[in-house]
Amino acid sequence: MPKKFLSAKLIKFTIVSAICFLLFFWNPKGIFDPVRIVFLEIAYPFQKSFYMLGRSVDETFSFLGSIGEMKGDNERLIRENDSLVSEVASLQEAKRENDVLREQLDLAPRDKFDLEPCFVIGQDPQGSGSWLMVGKGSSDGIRTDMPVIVSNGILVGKVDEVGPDSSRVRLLTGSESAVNVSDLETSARGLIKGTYGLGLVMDMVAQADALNEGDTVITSGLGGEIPKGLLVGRIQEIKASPDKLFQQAIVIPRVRYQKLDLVFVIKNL
Amino acid sequence: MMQNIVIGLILFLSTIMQISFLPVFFTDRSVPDVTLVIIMIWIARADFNSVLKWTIIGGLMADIASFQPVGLNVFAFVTVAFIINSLSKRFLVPQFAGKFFILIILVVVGTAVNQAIIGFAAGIGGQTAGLFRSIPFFFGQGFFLKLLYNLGIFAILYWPLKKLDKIFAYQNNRVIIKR
Repeated sequence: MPKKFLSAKLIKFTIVSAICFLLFFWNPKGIFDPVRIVFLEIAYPFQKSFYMLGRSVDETFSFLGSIGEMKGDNERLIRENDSLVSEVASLQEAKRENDVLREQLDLAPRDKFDLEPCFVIGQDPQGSGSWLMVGKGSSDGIRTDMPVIVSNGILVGKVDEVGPDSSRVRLLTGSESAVNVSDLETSARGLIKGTYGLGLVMDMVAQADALNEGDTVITSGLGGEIPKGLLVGRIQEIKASPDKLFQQAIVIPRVRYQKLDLVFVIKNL
Repeated sequence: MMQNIVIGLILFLSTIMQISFLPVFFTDRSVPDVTLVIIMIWIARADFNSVLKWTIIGGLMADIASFQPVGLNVFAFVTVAFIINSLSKRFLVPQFAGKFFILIILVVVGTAVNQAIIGFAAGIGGQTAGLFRSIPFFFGQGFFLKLLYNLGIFAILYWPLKKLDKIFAYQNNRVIIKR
């Protein structure tokens, strides 16, 4: 009897596994779309509420945890404020200079983008740090491959799946992400790739090109999918690629992707 | 009917919680697998065939909610369920006082198996890294944290789910007696 039971169990397990393998490798696009649309329609209000609730709880605990540090922070902030006031004047001059340089470098004018603001409603729970879910979808004009930025022109990733009211954003740190970038200071070109949510690597940089630690990495606009001049991060370390044919640089992203609340999808390119 | 609705609702909410609530707090790449832990608790205490349907539904919900290729989480969940059920049939002796501690070991095994399958699939799907390069990312420090969090979730959910099972069993007995 136990033997018979085990074999029935094994048969069921084998059948289900075989179907899963078939679906996973064959990956039929569109077969599950109706189910997915219905599920996401039902799930959307829950996802939004859960994410907002989580954010509120997190902020409350962060606030409570920081009360003890507030006195010291306050004194430090007063000192910082004094020095920042003097910096503002010099930065205004730098801003004028920046505007001129952006124009000369033909960087994308950030204020000309048609931006769709989206709240983050979910994140990758599997630990590979590869995607975010946002609360806007095809009904708001979101399409696949649209770039996603945070307000001040920092590239976060691009849309890779679209539902009616929600979309999935493939983050730059995801293992499947690859975007053309360049070094702002030296114009060295390369490809930025994700490393399973751990960080970014600027790869395929020719040995003859110059890279320096601390340089700023921006999108190069090659390929036409992502506009030129969006900020990606800063070079932390430079090394040779394993095959010694190219240079690689470890790039520190400008934002913590796990802490994002609001992102913007660029609808016009 | 009522039982199906309650179980379906538990799986639905745990899936949503895993994607939209817990990542806010667990920003170190180690979000606990709530749905998987729930399925592990059920499968360790029940018959494989009776929980298989819910294992598939839980996996489907996880795949659909996270826009992943359908089949990935279903396969991971069903494999974990199969292993946990086989081990629990062998090691979980009824009325044994240390049942809870054996279940802890089963949760550790289930988490490792699930992580291995997800890591393997990420390696297959990843364009920028090889299959075997992906595995260390899923068994680094983050894995031990995930293990810890899953055990925490297990400790929180074990008794409420046991209580729920008893309520379902009581209701089923009442239905049988009425008939």
